[in-house]
Amino acid sequence: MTTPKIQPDFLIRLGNLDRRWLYLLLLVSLSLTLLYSPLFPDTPSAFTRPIFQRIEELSPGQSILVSLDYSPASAPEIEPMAFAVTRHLLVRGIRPVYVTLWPEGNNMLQEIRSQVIEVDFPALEEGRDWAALGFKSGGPLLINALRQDLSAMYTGDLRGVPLDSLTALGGAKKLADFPLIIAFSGGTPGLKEWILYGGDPTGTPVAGGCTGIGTPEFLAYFPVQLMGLLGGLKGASEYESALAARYPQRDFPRRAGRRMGPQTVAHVIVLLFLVLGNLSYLRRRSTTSGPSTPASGGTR
Amino acid sequence: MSTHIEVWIGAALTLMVLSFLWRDNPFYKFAEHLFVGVSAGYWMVMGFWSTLWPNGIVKLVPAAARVTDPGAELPPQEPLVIIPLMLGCIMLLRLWPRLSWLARWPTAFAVGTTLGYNLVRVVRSDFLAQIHATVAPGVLLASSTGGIDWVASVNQWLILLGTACGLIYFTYTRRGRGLRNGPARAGLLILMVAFGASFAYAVMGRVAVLVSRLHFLLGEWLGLV
Repeated sequence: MTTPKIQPDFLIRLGNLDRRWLYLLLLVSLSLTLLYSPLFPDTPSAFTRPIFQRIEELSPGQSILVSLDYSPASAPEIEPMAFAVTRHLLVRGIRPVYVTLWPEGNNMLQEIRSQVIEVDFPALEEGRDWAALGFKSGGPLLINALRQDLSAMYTGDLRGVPLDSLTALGGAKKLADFPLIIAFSGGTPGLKEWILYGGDPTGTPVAGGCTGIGTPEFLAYFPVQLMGLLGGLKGASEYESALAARYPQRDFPRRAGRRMGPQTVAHVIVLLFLVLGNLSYLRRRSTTSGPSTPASGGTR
Repeated sequence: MSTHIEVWIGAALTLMVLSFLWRDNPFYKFAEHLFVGVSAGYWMVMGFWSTLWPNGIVKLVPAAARVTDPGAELPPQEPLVIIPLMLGCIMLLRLWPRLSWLARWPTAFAVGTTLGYNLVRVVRSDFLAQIHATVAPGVLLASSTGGIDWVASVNQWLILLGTACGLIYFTYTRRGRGLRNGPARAGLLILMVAFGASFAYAVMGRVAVLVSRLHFLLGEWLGLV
């Protein structure tokens, strides 16, 4: 018994396409989109809105704790949201107090200082309008200590100015004195530790931002243990759009919004080839005669 | 085009790493080994100066604080720090086969304290609070109007049913037949949807990193963006 010879058609040949053509297509498409930098309209989701609303409800002069728990590896996703939230806080006159559970967090803080505060808010003064306490090791143990007493772990800010002289703290002595904790998290320790050891025991509302890959893990905590979540670049773009709609006169940069253009193009290409790949598989299976095998695309 | 040497080094290393998409090659290997080496060195130095030095050496010998900051106030001495320092040193005995058994003691101490420290919090936040949020009232009211929030209520029921079906799918004590088979299949479908959403988020994250690198190449390096 002979197996009939099958003429490979377009769909079957597509299934054998060298993946490097896909990489090339993705690279060219993303590069072209980046050159044009289109700004797609975006609206805040149900996860983003609570954070924006909460910050809008805070009174000018109040201090909130912001934890920068990310590094250059996760900065492409997290940094735009940290920038946008910092702009929102400072434009409202709310005083962010920056800490970090990651050693690289001090460098990320330096980026906020040089790219956001010094550029968009040059009149603001460190120690009075915002404070940088920086990195201390310990992760959950550090949060536990801050729950009892800020001065147990921090004697001063990164410049060495004593804690008592920092008016940006607004008299906060412990974690529960802050009306809100915002943690930007690229991994562990990060947002989860702030929920478990900071927010849950003290009742202080916790909001956060995380990488795309970490988002599903944190959705389980929303909205009871986590009041709002910025998930990946999309979350950052949503926050930027909310900020632009509320404060159009400030014309803040929209870094995440500009990068959602290439992101959208990449998603369309991935989806397209996902559909074509499945069609190719079905076509191959339908044209294969005889006992099906995994190698020939048969059923398993 | 950039005139800064560090931007050129960054661009060259980025291109070396991306060259792996074509095939494995010596340029990729060079970038990979360089990254591993630099990372190991960086973390060694960071671990020493950010953890061992301030939490160990300075607390044991307060005068050491002035090595990094000549104007620093001397902290009070904490002689008990010698205990964790000794435990840390004992952990290194694993490198000597005859004394390696001693390394089990600090390991047991670390595992025991970490477990005790985390157990209560994790049970409360990751277990009890999650159950409480899952079985919240079936009809939720809108905080603004006081009427029924239909979307939130339906979502709440979906979460409850989805969780129940997912748990039924993972119950292996009896073969899935009859009445149990329907919820188990629904649980499987819900798990598939959840895995799909997780994978989509992962794709979004990876693309964001790629876009950031391309932005660096086209913008900071070539000056086109």
